[in-house]
Amino acid sequence: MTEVEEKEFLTLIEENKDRIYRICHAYCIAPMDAQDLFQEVVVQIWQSLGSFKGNSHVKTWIYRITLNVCYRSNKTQKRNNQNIVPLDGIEIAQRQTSVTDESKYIVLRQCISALKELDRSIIMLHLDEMSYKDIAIITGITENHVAVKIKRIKVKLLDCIVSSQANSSGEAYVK
Amino acid sequence: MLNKEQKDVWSDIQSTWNNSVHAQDINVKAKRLIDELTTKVTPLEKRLIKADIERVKNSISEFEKNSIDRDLKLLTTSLKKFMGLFRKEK
Repeated sequence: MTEVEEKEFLTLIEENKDRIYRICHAYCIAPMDAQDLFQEVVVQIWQSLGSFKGNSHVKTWIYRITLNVCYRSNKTQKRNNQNIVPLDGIEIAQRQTSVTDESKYIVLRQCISALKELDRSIIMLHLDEMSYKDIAIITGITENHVAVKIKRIKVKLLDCIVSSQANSSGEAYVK
Repeated sequence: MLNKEQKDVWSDIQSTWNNSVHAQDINVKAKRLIDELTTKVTPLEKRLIKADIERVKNSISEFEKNSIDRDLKLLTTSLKKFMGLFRKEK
């Protein structure tokens, strides 16, 4: 990889690290944590950068790689994680957050995790404000199908959140 | 269609999702990362490619065996049927 390509790679990671991490965090299942998944995505981007033709938008391409790594890890994480390359060049530290934000996020994450694989990807991309067109490209379904699915998933997710709140004394989404 | 309350909840969900990442401080150390990717990933890639080739080799030979068996069975049955018909016609 040339110096220019290395710079491009680092810019790509820097600009997209938050959205990559968000998806990794929503997908991670013990013993693999979000940091392992994040590193795996970085490695995949590094390996695939040469084959990126620029036909698709770079953001779409990154999401595709991230989701593929997360799908694969869900399937293989029970077997082993020996192929993970530990990278000390990435440091992820937890910041102090408010209890309210934390409890809301936990409920949201649980409800997203309860969705089917495809629905989970679609709603995460929608929450990241991706267009229907881009979601269709990433997931391989039609734009119309994406629109229909989003409506249904939203209802499902809202139901799950409301019932989770009813069952716990945690901070409520509904004011 | 979502009602007013559901829309409010949805916008709250959206902000929870967007703010979730602010709970982490992701620090990418450029030079170190590039060094690590260059030194660690290439040997791993080689090892994985080798393992993949081995797996493909094994699965092809198994597939070939099965498909030859299937073809042989099909040929034998067809030949028997044909011989049966041929004998009847005689």
